[in-house]
Amino acid sequence: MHQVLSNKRTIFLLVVPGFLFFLVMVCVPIAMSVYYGMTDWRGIGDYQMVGFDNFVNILTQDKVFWRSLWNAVLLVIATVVLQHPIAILFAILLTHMGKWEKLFRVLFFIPAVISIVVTSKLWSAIYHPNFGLLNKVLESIGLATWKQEWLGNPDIAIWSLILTIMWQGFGYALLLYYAGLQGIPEDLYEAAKLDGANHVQLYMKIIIPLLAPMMRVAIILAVITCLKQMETVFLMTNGGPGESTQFLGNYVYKAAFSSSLYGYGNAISVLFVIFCLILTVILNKFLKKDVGEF
Amino acid sequence: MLLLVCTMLFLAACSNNGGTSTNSGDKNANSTPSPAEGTTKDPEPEQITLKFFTALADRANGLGKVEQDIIDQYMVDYPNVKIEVEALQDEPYKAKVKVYSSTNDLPDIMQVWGQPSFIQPLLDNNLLVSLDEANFKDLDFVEGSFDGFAKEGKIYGVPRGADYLVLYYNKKMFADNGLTAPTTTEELNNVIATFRGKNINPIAINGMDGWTLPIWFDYVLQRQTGTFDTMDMGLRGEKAFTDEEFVKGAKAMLEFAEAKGFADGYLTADYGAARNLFGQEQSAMYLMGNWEASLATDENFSEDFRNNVAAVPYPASDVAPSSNLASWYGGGYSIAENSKHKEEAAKFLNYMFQPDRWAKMIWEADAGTPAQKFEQFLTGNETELQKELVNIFNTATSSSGTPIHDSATDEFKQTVMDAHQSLLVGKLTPEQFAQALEDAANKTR
Repeated sequence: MHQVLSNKRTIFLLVVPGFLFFLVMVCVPIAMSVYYGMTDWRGIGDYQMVGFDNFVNILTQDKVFWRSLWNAVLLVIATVVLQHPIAILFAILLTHMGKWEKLFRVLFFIPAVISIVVTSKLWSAIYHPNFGLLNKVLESIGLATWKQEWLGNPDIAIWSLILTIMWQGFGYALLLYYAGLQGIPEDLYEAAKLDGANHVQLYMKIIIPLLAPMMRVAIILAVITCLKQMETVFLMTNGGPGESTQFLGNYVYKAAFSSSLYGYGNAISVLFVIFCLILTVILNKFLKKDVGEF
Repeated sequence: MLLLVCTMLFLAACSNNGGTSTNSGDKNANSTPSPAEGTTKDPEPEQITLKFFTALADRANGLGKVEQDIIDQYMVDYPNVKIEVEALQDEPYKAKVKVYSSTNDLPDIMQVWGQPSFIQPLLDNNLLVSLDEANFKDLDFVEGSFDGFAKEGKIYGVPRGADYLVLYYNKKMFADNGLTAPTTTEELNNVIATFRGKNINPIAINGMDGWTLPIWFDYVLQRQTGTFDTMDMGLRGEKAFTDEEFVKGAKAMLEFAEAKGFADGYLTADYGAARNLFGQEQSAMYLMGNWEASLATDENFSEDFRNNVAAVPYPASDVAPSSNLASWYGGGYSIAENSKHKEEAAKFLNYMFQPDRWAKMIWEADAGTPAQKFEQFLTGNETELQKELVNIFNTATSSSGTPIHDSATDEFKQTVMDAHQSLLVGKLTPEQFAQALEDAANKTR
């Protein structure tokens, strides 16, 4: 009896600091954001309460907000559908490289450790219509008609950005899947081979399904990172041209700090939090089913 | 463990008073001994610390260096005064000003821009001290330079420079293609067509930053209507931005963009990228302000380029001469209302703006054009470019004043810049562009 009581108190005492921390660092600022989101504060001086006007305006009249959300969703889809399969493929290839394995592991991970500022400027230079690498290479191999204003054309700028972001994050996805592959026992490979599975069957039907837990982690991380995108956008296009590459993180920055609309900016960030929560719930339901099946 | 967490929370909550400047208190007052009756001995001056907040982050070159040199000299001349300098880049500077103002802790002397988008909130909330005009009367300030810093007849800041937009060009690139600098808008269009025919970028501009575009619109509009007042009337509501002339101006801008008058990728080129494009001779012209006089002396560019860079005013049209200049008095300094050393701060500003200090030094450092008369400081050793720039300024017959985007709130500024970018990329028609400006202006009128 005594044991249980003191146990509970210990548990409580040990949990409280972390919980308080979470409360003060996360919940309180969000509550403050909700409050300021209901004002028309411009950074200097007094403000008026405007109720839910900001929220309503964002949801009904702000095309840039919906465009930013859509861009974030596009990025998530592209990451999961393009980057991850390639990462899985490379992870599998890595395990077959023998003595080159360590070298290539490092090489593939390098983009992930380069500072985002450097990456943004690097890719901006590559995409430059006049002296950028991409256009020059296209010209030299005779595909001059494919030359584009990679960042200046509102229709394709978003894809140029997505490519850059995927390139940078590739290392993390690769690392996760590689680690996942290491966790699969060798015997399974042998057993499958004994049962007459060829390479394709081995990987498609056995190994990749066993990567499902890792996939779940990788997808969650990908979604979180994609929604958070701000630096690359800010440095490469600042949401342009014509708000076609705007992302929510950058949009909040622009609204709050560039336009000095702190009330509006706070409202956007609150809606962003809500959106992320909804997405998390959906993701959890979806991924649970996946893992459960195997 | 709880104690540790609480300490952390406490530190986190109170850390916003840290900032980059040292947090020492305002004064280290030595109590002044009251002068005994009848003695003529000066009382020992009070030790005073002034906080100086500036957006000239580079303290080793250009305007920032001149600023720092004057500050250092002041501290030598007046040993009882210590001036602590905090310097940030433009955008972080503006953000931090807001932080300071929300805690009523603005630095004693701070840089301001004499344009409504920056200074209006400060004036409306009585955060700046009204300055004594007599303090600056004999310092040869140009007529009208204090306008942007004034409210209801009182002045709240001192202008430090005249800014104006000119067209830089590369003489060699022009000569190689059999062209001379354009003097009319029609010549400009021809020049652009010729350069494009030879696959050369005509005009470099920092489209991503956005602020040069509205100033260019000011020019385009003025060259069509003959007066800079059109834009001002639009802002005041005496005309609507959806009126004929503004739409016509927008159409002209769109045509210019469609004729590829600007360098490729200009909408995602920031300040550095545009400047470099011109400096590396990848574009024949550069639409930028007079503060780039240092293009002629920048060792990062080839000697060829430095010898061939020149400037002309924006080309004239049938109804407007090229002496109609888009110019304004931008940067300046103010004293905070919450300062505990207003007199000392004013004394410093008077010291700084003695003509043989600020005006002379920034001219000699090739760092810009003072807001004071400075002909007496022309050394005769100026670069060709400097001479051309001075000439453009001195022969101006009308000035635009604060550009449209800086004439109201920050929100208006962003909306106007975004509208320009959207127009030029084809996302907005000229009519929609005009409507966007009208809607934005309505919010501020």
